[in-house]
Amino acid sequence: MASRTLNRTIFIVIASPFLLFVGALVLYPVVWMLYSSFKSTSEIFAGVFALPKKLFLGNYRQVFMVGSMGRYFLNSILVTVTSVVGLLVLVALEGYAFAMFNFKGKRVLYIFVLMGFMVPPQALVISGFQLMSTLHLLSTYPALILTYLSWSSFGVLVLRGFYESVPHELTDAARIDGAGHWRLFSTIMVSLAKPALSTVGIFYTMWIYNEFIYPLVYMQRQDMFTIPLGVMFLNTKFITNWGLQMAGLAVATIPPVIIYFIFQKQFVRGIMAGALKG
Amino acid sequence: MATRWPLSLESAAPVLTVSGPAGVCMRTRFMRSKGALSSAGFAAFLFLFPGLFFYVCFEIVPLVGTTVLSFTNWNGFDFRQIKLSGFGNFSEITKDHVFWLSLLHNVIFTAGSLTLRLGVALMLALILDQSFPAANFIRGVYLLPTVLSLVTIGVTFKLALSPTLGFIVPFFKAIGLKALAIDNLGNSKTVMQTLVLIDTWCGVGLFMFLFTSKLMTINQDLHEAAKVSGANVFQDIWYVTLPLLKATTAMIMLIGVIESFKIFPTVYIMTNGGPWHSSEVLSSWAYFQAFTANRVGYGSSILFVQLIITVIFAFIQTKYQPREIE
Repeated sequence: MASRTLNRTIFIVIASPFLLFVGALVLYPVVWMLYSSFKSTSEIFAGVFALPKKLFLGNYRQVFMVGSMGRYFLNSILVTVTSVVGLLVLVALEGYAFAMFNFKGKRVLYIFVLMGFMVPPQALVISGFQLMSTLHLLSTYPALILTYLSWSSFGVLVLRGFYESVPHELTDAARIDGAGHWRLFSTIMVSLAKPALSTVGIFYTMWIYNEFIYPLVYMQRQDMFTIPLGVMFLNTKFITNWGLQMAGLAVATIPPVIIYFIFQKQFVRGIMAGALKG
Repeated sequence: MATRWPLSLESAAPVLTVSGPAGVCMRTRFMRSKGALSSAGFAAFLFLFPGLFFYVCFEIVPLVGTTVLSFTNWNGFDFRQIKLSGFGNFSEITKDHVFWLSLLHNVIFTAGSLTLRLGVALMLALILDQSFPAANFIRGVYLLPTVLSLVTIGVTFKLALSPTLGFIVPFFKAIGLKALAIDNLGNSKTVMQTLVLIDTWCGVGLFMFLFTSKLMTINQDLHEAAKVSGANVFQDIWYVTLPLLKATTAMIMLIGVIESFKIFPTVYIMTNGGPWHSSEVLSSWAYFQAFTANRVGYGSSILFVQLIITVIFAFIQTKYQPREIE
């Protein structure tokens, strides 16, 4: 027993530097970007690795005034919140249907829905652009929101799995009490499904907030850009102004990181569930 | 009340469905307790309709649109100008050397990134599996890149890799790797491996996490039995842990290939296919064709081919997926 503890300790001692090294590799670029945003551009060029001597806020001022990040932020939030809320409603309903009903062609329909995973956004963007153009929706919020509402496949997958795992005693008891499907759904299922919905919600929020291709193609007007687009724009238009770009990157990064730390549990649970076979 | 739900990413592969004996039981139960099938059908329709409506309108319709467009040589301006060109685009593809170069890059990228990610992730997961202290915190750190936008990652690394102003070149100089202290992004020989490494940086955390989750479900008794039979840590891993990870690895590979093939934002932001197509991938080439060269039809056909290749890959991988060892 003692030798096992010794082995373990030796193992930890040897593995730690390696893990720390990997951790540093993972964190440093982000950390670098964050502390560089508090340095003026000339400061950054003077010493790339150096920590800021004092917190320079000029970049952030610029990023909101000249870089319109405030506006982009608004766009991103609006689109993200609307889309995610919509998606949660859609997938809660659809997942319930796949789990609780039986009908002809259900299996085929389910595979049809799952096909959504295989399709890359790029393939859709070209004709999507034409579609939005015809509907006169280019450079409008609906162009993005409607597109994101089609991303139900992921949520359906998760919610259906969840609903199927609810013990039948619960649902049977409710049905014996005379509850129809709608009653069953709205009173019991939605509140029970909260953990599943919150996990799905977190993922959708991350994906939609960070989405780049659709805003790139659909948003032809600069004031309708979303944050990722804004970051790219800062990079291409203000090439030499590194301070400004860093601040832009930081503004883009901080919300997802905060959400990540707050909702880590849901995030982790979602990924974990994905790793385990049914 | 069970909060674990039987989610399976494997069912994302179009060939599989999830309906074991439990599913059949439930269906029979409901069929007995329900009355007329028509009322169930209508209710089901109501539940399904909203989600399906958006899915069909804004995912399937554009997909069909792209497929149709790939058989035209439209320039994207006037609907009335659309003319079918049969397989013209596709025969042009066979002669388009940039297309084949892009395809090669996709393959290199996918293979390289996937291998690296799997290898490093597996290693990390195995280390952390040995009841490492603060393992959860460490995993939390490694997962961080997953929440970042590809644009953020792309721009950050683009700046960091700047040969004169970034931190990567000075870093390499400092540790003596002069050969790597060059403009990695602007050099046609090094650009692909740079992109692969950056993608690995993003993706290791997620893979590691998937492995860890699976490792946590492995019955500790198996490890105990091995230790009792005198196996050391490495033998334990080789004979007990690794075989049990086969199914997970296969699943991760399947998803990884599908995801890697779609690569676009990183390339677009960092190199836009340059220098001189040395980092061109199918998506970026198609994007260029459709939006810059005004050849919507040709761009669509490139994407169509990419989609077909992805589907074929997925099918092949699903066929050869090893069964789970219980």
